[in-house]
Amino acid sequence: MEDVAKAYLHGQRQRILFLLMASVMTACGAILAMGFGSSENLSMRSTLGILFGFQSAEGLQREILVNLRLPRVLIALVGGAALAMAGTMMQGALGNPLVSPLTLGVASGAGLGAALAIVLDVTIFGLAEFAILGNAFIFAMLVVAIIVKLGDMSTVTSESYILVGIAITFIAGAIIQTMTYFATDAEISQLTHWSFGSLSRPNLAQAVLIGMTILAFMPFGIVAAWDLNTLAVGGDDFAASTGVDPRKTRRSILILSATMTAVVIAFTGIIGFLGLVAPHISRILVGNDYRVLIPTSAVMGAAVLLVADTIGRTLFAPVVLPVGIMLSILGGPFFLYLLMLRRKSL
Amino acid sequence: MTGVLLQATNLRFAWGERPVLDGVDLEVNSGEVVALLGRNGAGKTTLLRMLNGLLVPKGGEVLVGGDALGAMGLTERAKRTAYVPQSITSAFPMRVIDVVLLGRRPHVTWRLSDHDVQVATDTLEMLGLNEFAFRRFTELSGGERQQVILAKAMAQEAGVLLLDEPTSDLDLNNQIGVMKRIRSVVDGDGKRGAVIVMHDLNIAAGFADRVVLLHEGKVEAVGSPRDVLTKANLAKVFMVDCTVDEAPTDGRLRIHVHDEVKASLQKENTEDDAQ
Repeated sequence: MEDVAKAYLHGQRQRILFLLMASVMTACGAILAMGFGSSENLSMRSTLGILFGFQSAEGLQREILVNLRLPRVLIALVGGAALAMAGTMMQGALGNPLVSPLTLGVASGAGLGAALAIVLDVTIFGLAEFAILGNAFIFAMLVVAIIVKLGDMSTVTSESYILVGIAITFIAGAIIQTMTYFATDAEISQLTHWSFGSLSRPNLAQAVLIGMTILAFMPFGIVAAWDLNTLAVGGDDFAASTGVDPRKTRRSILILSATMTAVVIAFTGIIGFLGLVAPHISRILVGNDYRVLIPTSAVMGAAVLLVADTIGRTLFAPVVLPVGIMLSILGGPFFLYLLMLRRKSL
Repeated sequence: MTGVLLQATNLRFAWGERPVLDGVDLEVNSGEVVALLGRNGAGKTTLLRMLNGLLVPKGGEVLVGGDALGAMGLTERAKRTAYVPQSITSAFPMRVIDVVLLGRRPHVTWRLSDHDVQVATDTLEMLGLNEFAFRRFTELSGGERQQVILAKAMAQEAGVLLLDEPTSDLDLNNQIGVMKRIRSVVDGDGKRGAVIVMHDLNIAAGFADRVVLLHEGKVEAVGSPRDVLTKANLAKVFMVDCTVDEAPTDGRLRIHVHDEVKASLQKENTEDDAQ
């Protein structure tokens, strides 16, 4: 009895230590990522010198660091954390390990919004400068509104959410394909490029805004960790008999996750794979207790997106590969390797 | 027996137009194990789920500790009643200790105290599940999972345990072991009680203080195992021909089922009883 309690508490301490170490390593990785790039004016050595105050930045160096690399690294950290956390929470809320932030159709909504702006010049904001971004965000939030409405129905189940998400994905896909059929080559190129997902789009102000929004949302997910544990283990009756309202919890978690996803992908385009792979890497590393799993997923998501983007912009420099493609190239085989290594854990 | 823990009065329930329960009364006193028996579809699980608030009755009322269950928040309900379903399937491989710790959910906001961990590990030890503590729940057999969910319900420290066939997947040895432990939890401080849905009449006779026999949505008989588990009652409810006697070794009630009873014979018996 004593031994089991001791072993449990020891294991929990180890997990928290791992989480802290992973956070520190990701922060160090972010500093190093600021030093990677194709500019001859800004080597790794001089970047670190500037960041740690050993040398002052010249005009162009400051421009590259503050306006190009900093927003990129910032959006990798908060965007990765948000998408991974959203995926983890949605998997628990729907009791399904195959769910990702794209399952509910949020990304398809954003894609439809972007396509309307690119192909038909239809904008809701009416601001030409933010047409694609604004449309993508508004249409992604329309999908969130559908999720809210769905959650109000008394008969809604986990399957209902997934099926509605699939339907939204098909409908949005069909409309986008129809528009693509009539689009010019330039428009198709622009739409395809948007759909790749890239961290180069947000400027510093936008990256800070996204970061603050995501940081404001995160505590709500962590507070719901116990409730997600009960839903993930045993479903609705199990949760309810343990003091958790399954419908309310699922509804609020899905709205939270979908909103976090919408905020990120409206600015970056579709980054899909991360929301599936980062939660599973985290499950393998720290287990399935959502109290530790949610923050670990956030850190792993940030780290994976940062690494993928840094490799994507340095591997074939000065050509920058979109991060969505890099994630699939690097993440897919790595994910399979982890699964084979610990196949019993899934 | 020191007081009424749970009282259900005139409960009614229907799935659409199909009535399931009609005017069911049930009472659980502290220190008491109540066995809920009946044929498949008699409404046992429906009744158990209403006693936990998982289903809202179409009529009647459930009081737990004198308070209306329907007016309680979910956390308060979970502090007073703990429910063990027939089985659960889990998509995520959580460790057994983590599953049992979920029983502490109604008592904690976020951080587990040492006491919470102690309650969970004590429960695991009592049920003989220590060796499973760090195994993955999804890798256990059906019977082992059933015991883990029972441990989670016990760690909840609720006054009333509502158990839906907690021994259905267990071997003979574990069936007796689990029933003994449920009995000892209920007998322990005399403040808890249990309602157990079961199909094994001999186990019900051996471990229950009272038996409630459900038939076609109504209580056919309620009382001590000797009063309720009679040849006539069993023939009417289960349509089986059986012998009820006492074991020569310890005087316990024994039920031997010989054969099913033909519907026509049962009708004759019922008419004879009526005359």
